[in-house]
Amino acid sequence: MALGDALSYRNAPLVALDPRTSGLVLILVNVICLTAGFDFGAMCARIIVTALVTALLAAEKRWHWVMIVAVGTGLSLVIEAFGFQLISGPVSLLIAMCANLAARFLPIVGLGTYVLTTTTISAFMAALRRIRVPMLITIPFAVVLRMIPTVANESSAIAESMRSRGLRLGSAPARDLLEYRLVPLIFRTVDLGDELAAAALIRGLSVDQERTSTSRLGFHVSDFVVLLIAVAATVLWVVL
Amino acid sequence: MDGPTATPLTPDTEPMSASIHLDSVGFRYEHAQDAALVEVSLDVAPGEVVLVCGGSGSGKTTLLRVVNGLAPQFYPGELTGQVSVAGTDPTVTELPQLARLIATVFQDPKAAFFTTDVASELAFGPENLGLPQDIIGSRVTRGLERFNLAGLRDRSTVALSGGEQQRLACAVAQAMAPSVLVLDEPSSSLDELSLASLAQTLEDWKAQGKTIIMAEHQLDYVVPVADRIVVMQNGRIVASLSSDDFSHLDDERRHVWGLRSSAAAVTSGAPHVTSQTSQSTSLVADKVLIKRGDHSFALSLDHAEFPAGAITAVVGPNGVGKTTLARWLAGLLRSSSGSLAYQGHGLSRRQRLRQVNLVAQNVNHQLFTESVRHEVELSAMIARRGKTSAIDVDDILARCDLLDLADRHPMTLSGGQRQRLAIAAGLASMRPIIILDEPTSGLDWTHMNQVAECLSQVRDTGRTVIVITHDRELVAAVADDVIRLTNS
Amino acid sequence: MADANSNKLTTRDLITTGVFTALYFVVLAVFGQLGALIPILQVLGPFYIPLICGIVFVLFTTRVHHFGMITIMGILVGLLVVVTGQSWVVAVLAVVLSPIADWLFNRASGDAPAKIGTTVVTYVIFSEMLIGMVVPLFFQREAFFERLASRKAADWVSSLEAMTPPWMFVVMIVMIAVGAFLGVLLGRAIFRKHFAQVAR
Repeated sequence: MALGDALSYRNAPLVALDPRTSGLVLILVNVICLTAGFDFGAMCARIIVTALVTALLAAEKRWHWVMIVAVGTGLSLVIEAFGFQLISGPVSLLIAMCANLAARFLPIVGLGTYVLTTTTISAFMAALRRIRVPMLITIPFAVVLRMIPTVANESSAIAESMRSRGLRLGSAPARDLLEYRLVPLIFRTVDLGDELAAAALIRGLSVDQERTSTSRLGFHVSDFVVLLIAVAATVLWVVL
Repeated sequence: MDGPTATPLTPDTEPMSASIHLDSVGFRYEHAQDAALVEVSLDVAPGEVVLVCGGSGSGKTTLLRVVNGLAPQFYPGELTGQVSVAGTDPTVTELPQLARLIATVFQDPKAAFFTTDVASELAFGPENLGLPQDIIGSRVTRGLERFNLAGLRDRSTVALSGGEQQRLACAVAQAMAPSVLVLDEPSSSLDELSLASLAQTLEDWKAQGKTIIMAEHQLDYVVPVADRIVVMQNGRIVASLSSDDFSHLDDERRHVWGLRSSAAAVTSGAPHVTSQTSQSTSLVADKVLIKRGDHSFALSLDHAEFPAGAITAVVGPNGVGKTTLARWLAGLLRSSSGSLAYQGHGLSRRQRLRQVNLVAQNVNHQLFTESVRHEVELSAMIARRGKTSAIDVDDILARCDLLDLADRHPMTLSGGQRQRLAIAAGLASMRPIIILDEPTSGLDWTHMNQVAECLSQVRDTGRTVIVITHDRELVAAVADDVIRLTNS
Repeated sequence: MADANSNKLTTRDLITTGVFTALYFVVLAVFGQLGALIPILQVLGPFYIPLICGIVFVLFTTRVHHFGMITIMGILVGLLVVVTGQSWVVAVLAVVLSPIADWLFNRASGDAPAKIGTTVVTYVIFSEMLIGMVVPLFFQREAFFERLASRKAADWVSSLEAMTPPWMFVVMIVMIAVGAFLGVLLGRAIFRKHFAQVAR
């Protein structure tokens, strides 16, 4: 499975979140994971948030991610909280730093993957329109979401082709290798970008024309539940 | 900015077809030395289906771009002459306005998809036009029905097969309710079934009275549908024939115009199977099983032999595992079981990475440098680390007919020339096994033969050459042996 | 067509911005992740990441003729970086710095190809948003270390504290600037070698 495919929409999800809910939850999860410390309230918040992300991923049967987030974060939290009481020295420092990074990143990345693979670009565009973001921003935003998986796939293909040809560290000067790694990627991206642009313009995309949205937005029970959990976690962290 | 405007249409009626008029049209792309179109005059009546064909560089794509407004509005350049499509001048009318009149189906449907799922993709165009929600809804529903996509409504666009993607591209075009349809080589990378489906779509559009202009290099599926076939060469129209007359042309005439032979001619020229070469100079694959993520088999191969000093073609339907086989042979994939032996010795995956040269389907992932010569020298340099004797870069360039292109940047080369460059780099790598995946897809007669010649040169060096291909003409031209993969 | 005289961003400009932002971000992520695997690289990150991404940025600037594109790219990159797990400070810096970089670039260039000095200043300012990634480490130090110290691992805490003195922050700002400068040089060299001749 190419890297890019892991970053793009897959199929209609079980729990369809409105992009606005996703955005809010992403912010809250980001803040909690990056700034909450070790006191009781903070730990509660972090655990709740991790559980939430795991539950969402499980609903989509993304078992690999469930493992990574649940086990990875759990383990890292344990190490971070208690680990260095047991060992000391530079090794423990390194382990603690890695655990720290993992505990903070994994839920965020897990949630990000969840949102990306269950939300369509149309939904994003519709949501942005609803909160009155101008086409000036919506168009580049949609194009970014559309192109990141494509660029990632091209990048993997080029990396593989370099490996296949025997171009690895040591077989050529680093500066040349960097050039070989990036130049075809830039050519490919520009070409694919031009094809996308030509097609989009031919299909009437225009910064001057407001688009109709047919994506069914709106808050459902699932939105309220998820939002409630995220807010509850935040409140716990702040209050306790 | 002013030109005759089209009659306003009520939002949801399928519009009447419209005509296309080109009067002495010339076009030169901004940084090009030569004109892409020279004095082209063409009239397409409402409801007519015109097929434009020609070798690469003949100007057929540029012709389409002048019709749908991309030239010069997207591809800047100098335009001379008069153009009128569906009552407006597409060279100056704003593209969002043209979108209501002209719809285009592109060669690579994946690259043209903007959204992530099928239903949204159908809605995308009408949404751009700001049409009311209920109209869009009915167009989406109708599109899903008409093109047999209802079951794929929420499927991700990248998860569709090539045939499904092309159906979606056609549905997307129709959802714009256009008067004129422009198609640029829509049959690229389609298998037989999908070609039949595409031909049917064209018939349906014709029955609905739509005006269609399309460019193709793969002609047999569409000649019966076309009313007229226009042949281009060097930017000019050199012939205009009825569908009937065209199908009676002999292959020599077709070749002069850079066109491929007709299907009938190709199937009669099957290659002979050469006598079996001894095991010791062969590449032998045994009991190869490669699984996909969902535990189905991507490839199941009992036994295959690829003789050295010969070209073995691997053919078979889409999805049977030809590319998977190529990647496995090249050491890029692991198999759950299976072995590969060369000259009697087993080849591990790591050894395959070093002994096998894979020229993949998209050659643009494999060209890294700023000149043809440097690209070949790069492979030679890496090979020299393995202490092979001095490599004659000029000789390799000559074998692949690239000497006069030696200082050109690879990205300025045509598709066929890039293929030959990748092959040349493969020669310079000094690896004994070279595999090519669809080296001639999309190439015209002349370029296909150049690649075939290049492959013969490679074979004559004694290497084992394996070619994955759909191209029956290539197989007829150059294969010594054919291995057919089937789905059983 | 290229409305060099009007100040409005065309739809195509916006799509181009999106395409290059996606490219910039993927390159940033791919090479940024190397630091996660090889800890030494994480220290050098502020230097080599702007350098490598500079190649993409320079290519982008060859298509920038109006104010707005660099700003939009900056904001979107900032947003993406934060959403993938960095401090919100990056986004705030992006919103502040990108318009400045954008304004400087368009004021000086107009329609002519950009001078190297302009591009360097533009990109240095643009890249400094990345310092936001380490702001928590330096500016919330007291709270951070207090929390750690409360877990009773004095050695650990003091060695970490020693490794990241406040003046490191300034060093990192300089590293980003130097990396950005070299990135522009490299980007221009690559442009001349590959992209100038393949006129598109």
